[in-house]
Amino acid sequence: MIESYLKDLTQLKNVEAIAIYSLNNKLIDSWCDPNFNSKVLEELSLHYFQVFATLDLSVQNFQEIVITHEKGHFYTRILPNLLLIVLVRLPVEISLIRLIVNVKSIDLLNSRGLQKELKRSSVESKDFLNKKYLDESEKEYLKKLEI
Amino acid sequence: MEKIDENMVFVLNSQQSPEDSDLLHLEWAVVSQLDGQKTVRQIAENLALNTAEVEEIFKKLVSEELLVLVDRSEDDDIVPGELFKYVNHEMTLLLGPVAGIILEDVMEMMRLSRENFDRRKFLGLIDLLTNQIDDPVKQIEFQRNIYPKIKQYLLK
Repeated sequence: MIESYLKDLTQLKNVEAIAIYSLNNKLIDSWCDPNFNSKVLEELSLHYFQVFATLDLSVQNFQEIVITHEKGHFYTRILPNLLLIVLVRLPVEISLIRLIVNVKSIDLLNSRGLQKELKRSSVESKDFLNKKYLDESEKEYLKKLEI
Repeated sequence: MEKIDENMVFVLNSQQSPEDSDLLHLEWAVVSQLDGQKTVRQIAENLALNTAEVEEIFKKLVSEELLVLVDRSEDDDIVPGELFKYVNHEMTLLLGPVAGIILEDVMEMMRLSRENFDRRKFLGLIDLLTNQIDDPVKQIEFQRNIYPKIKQYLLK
């Protein structure tokens, strides 16, 4: 799926890994550079779901998070019914990653393959995030922070 | 490296971690600015450092082999005028005659002109132009329409 619809991303020389998850944290597809440790992807998604859930709870409509580290970026994007994670090494232009995701994700989202995958999960919307990834005590704590 | 030029661009050396070096606060600040795109001058401006200070810091980081110079010889060029015409045309289809004014305004805001528009800033321009379009559907339409040309130009 990634190689079909996000081929332009996989062809960028500094892109190391790409993963797509349904909103209930099920890996739908992943792609990575042969030298990349794919286990990293498994550990990342849950953290991002929690971050997006926190933002969702505080009605901050963030759709994209870019975290820069000393060797590259973690680019993550919430698309309708999906979480997309792209790991890139420096130097790379995040504007280019964003542009490709904007342009190419439309066909991905409309693809029959993805629709089939998503049908198996009962997730309908991103409101689901804060229900699934934050428990009551976490929600209470976040409300007190007033973020 | 004898001289640090203000137009040089560096990235961190993947073989060395800055955590293993005894860096001062300002040196860490410089390291945190490195993204493979900002020039030495831009980093100096961002951190309000003067020429002597920034040169001294970069020299130290280079001498400790923490930085790698980015080779910009191949892509160090100016965006061709026809690309602006194309972008202007596509924006006009969506926004009408005001598109040309928006394009000029955004370039002025970036302190760049069509004659000296660095290709590394071009995607930033596209981001800013997209934000000038209110309708999210039209934003995507704009990007979809211009993407083949941008791909041809930037990813050749």
